[in-house]
Amino acid sequence: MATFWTLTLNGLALAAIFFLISAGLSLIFGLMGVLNFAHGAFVAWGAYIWLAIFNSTGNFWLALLGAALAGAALGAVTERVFIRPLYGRPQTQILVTLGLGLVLGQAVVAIWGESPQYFNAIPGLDGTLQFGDVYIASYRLFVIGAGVVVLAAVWALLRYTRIGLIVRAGVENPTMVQALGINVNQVFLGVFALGSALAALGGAVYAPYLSAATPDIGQSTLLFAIIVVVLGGLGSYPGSAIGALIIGLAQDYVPYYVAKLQLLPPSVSASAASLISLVLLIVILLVRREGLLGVRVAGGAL
Amino acid sequence: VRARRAPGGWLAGSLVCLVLVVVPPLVGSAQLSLPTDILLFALVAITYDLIFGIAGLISFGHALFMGAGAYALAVSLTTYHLSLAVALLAAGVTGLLLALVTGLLALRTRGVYFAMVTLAFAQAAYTLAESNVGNLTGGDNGLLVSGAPGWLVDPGSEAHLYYLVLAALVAGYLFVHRLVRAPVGRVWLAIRENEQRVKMLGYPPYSYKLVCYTISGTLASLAGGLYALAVGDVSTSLLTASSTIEILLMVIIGGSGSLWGAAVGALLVRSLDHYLNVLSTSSFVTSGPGWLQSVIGQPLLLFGIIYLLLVYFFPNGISGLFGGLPAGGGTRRRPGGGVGRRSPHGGAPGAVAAVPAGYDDTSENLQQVE
Repeated sequence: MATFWTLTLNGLALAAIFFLISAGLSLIFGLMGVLNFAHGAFVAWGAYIWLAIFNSTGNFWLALLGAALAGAALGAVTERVFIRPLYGRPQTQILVTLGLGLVLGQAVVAIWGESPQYFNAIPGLDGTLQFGDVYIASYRLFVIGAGVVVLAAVWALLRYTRIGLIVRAGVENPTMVQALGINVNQVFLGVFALGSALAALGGAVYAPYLSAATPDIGQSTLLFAIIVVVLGGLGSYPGSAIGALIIGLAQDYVPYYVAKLQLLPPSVSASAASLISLVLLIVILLVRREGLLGVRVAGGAL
Repeated sequence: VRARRAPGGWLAGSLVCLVLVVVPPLVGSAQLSLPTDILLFALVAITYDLIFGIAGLISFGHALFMGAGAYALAVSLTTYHLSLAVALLAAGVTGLLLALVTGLLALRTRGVYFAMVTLAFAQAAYTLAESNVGNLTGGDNGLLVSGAPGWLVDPGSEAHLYYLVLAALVAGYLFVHRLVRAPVGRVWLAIRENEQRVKMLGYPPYSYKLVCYTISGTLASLAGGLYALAVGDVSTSLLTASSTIEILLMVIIGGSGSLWGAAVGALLVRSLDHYLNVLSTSSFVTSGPGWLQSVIGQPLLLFGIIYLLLVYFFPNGISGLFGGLPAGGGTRRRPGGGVGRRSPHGGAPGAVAAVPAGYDDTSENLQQVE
């Protein structure tokens, strides 16, 4: 049973990271109809800016804040320069964000190099905690906490503030919101910045989890973020939380139990972690392509 | 490519072929690797143009097919010691099955969803290849191709390989060209313009798109197999998103929807790639500042910037400069309706990447079917 709880806690930590990364992607799509393929690059920038600040100041929290702010700035500039002039040209928007992702990702390689970047232990979070038979790295516990805090904070923002009201209304009917005299452009800019800040924060939290920052951190997380939002339902905020939970836990349970119970030949079982996400993606496409909490729009994108 | 009969088309095509045939004696067999590489990528770019430019499907997973074909050939030749013909067949069949299965699933979605799902399939293939699934792919190290017949791969026989690839390109080009002008091609073009209307007229878009996607995937896998043969090794980098972007860049440079444009795009992109790599090892660059070296040694950064500028400012590419109607997926057209261009929800509700109906020649296309 101890193994099960260890796996669960680790899976929850992974889920928290996937949630941070996919929530922004989903939120931006829900409001603006833009799927930002550069989202993964924002994750990588978050990780590297966190690393740069942490290595120079030694202050973990300051580095997290810096990464989130840098992500927000990156997102705001992206929306203003690349996305806004292209509303009404969705095809170009998709192509542009993909290219932007490549450029920002390669810029990371040009600045910080191809090889993994390491950093010092994080003061206060580098130990291991023990609950009975269950051991868990204290950093992973922190990641779970961070995920829950962000989940609650963004939910409260959406639910209880005027801005949240506008955003929710905008998801429902942007034309009506505009007709009521609200400057939708500012809301779009704000949400894009918020979503990108979440991505950068996700990257900043993920790097210590992997104990190194590598340039492909964005590429690999973009895959999970995509599967999470397709699973949960694109544009649904609770959907991305549930999708992240499923993918995070599956990533941890499946490889372990597949190996333990010898469900697959050993040569395949090492790839079980990658296979399970693919299988989940295929199943959701077959069974419910709008995702668990997505809404099927008549004549819509599906 | 529109149905307009270009009277000079055959003449120009034959001239280009003639030039391509005399390349080996002109440049010498030691210098043939770049021309071979260009021809291969021209074929891949044409297969991508078939789904992107002709049928209007934005797939971000085309690298999957090229990579799968390359791996299939390498595994068949090296691991299972099959003959070259069987190995090439294996590459084609792998592509066919992969495209059929991923197409059946991915084509249930549209627009941005389709782009996402195809990207996810390619990324999944990448992670599977990295993790050396079934001990087939060699993981990080990739695979060396051995067991290819000597008349193709021995030193001195580069010209044979070149002509094999040239034959594949010409056959592929003529095949796709023929398809696009056939009734099925008219339906693909019509789907690009207005899928709803195609459906109303009684053509099932899903099946037509699946056929297009499968043909494209099969041809791309064959090209991938030839690529593995030409390069002599296969690595996971073939399956990455950057690999897809490079193919996309070729098509966009050339002008989406134009088959010869895609081939020209491949020529430009692969040459640039090659000469930038040469430049990055030159003394001028190696003695220069470190950032210069890293920028030039990583052509992807430069490609990304070129790609962005093109998509943004010249969405119709080179073929668009030659007076043809904008053949691309309507990137310049504004959608009708909606609440002005500031609203992302303008136009058809949620039809995120469906081509807007500002300019519409669906019925014109379909009349030619009948």
